[in-house]
Amino acid sequence: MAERILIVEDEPHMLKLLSMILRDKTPYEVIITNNPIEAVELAKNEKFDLVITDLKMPGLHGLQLLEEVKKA
Amino acid sequence: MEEQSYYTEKLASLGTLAAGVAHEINNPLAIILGFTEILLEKTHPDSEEYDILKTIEKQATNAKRIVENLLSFVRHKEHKEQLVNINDCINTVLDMMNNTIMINNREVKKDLQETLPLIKGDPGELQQVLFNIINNAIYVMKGGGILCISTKYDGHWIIISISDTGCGIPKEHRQRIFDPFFTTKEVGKGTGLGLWVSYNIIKKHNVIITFETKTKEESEKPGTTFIIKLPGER
Repeated sequence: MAERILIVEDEPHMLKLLSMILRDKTPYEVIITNNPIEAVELAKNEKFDLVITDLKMPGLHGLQLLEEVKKA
Repeated sequence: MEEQSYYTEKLASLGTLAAGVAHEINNPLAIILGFTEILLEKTHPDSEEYDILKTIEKQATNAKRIVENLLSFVRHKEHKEQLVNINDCINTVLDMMNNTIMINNREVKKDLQETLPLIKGDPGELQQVLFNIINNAIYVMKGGGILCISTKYDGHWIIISISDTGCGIPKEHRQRIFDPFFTTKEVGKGTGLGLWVSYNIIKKHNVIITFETKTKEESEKPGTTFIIKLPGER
């Protein structure tokens, strides 16, 4: 089973770009969300090997998000 | 003195504004460049579309260079001081620029005093100042010329002198050379930020920078000399 990457980015074009690059060029399964709160919920229910996150996002800062994901 | 203070404040506020704008521009530029790269990989190199994409890439890269120059001012706010040998900084920059110097047929004359005291400063920032001044000197000596770099210690100051045998700075430009976006280079070749960034770095290092310049109308030997004085203590 391929390793899974979660990308969290509120800017939709940047999110699309990152996911296209990773899907095209790596064998990993890429899951995306533009909402950091949703990202925490996803992490509670699913396992991710890597989280790539923006820092400045409405609702939750990137570093806070990582803390929440680690707890989940 | 009042005029000097106004000038410094003007530069400081322009700097803050420009750096803020640069941050906002960085993301859209990364998106433009990223998607362009993806499309370039999917487009045949002999097609008209490929040429158009390369133009987008080139222009966006140029804009990115401007942003990077602006941001270097912000990044260097967190400058890290250490003891620095200024001769080492000069040699590092000259090594880095060796190809440019050779390709452009410039001669370099170095006269570095061997026993300089160390100074407290950020070597990366000081190298950036030297790079910007030397880069300009190389550019203005079109068709060849001599770049002279010397260092000496007068018991109080370490004095760096960087001279070129270029065309000199016209009188009407002399007050503006440290202004952001002021450039006399051709479109696409200069951002007009090199000396502005240098000026901001220099302010943080308690350094004095002056220049002497003569155009060909003013002297038989035109050219510009930048003098940088750093406080050196044994």
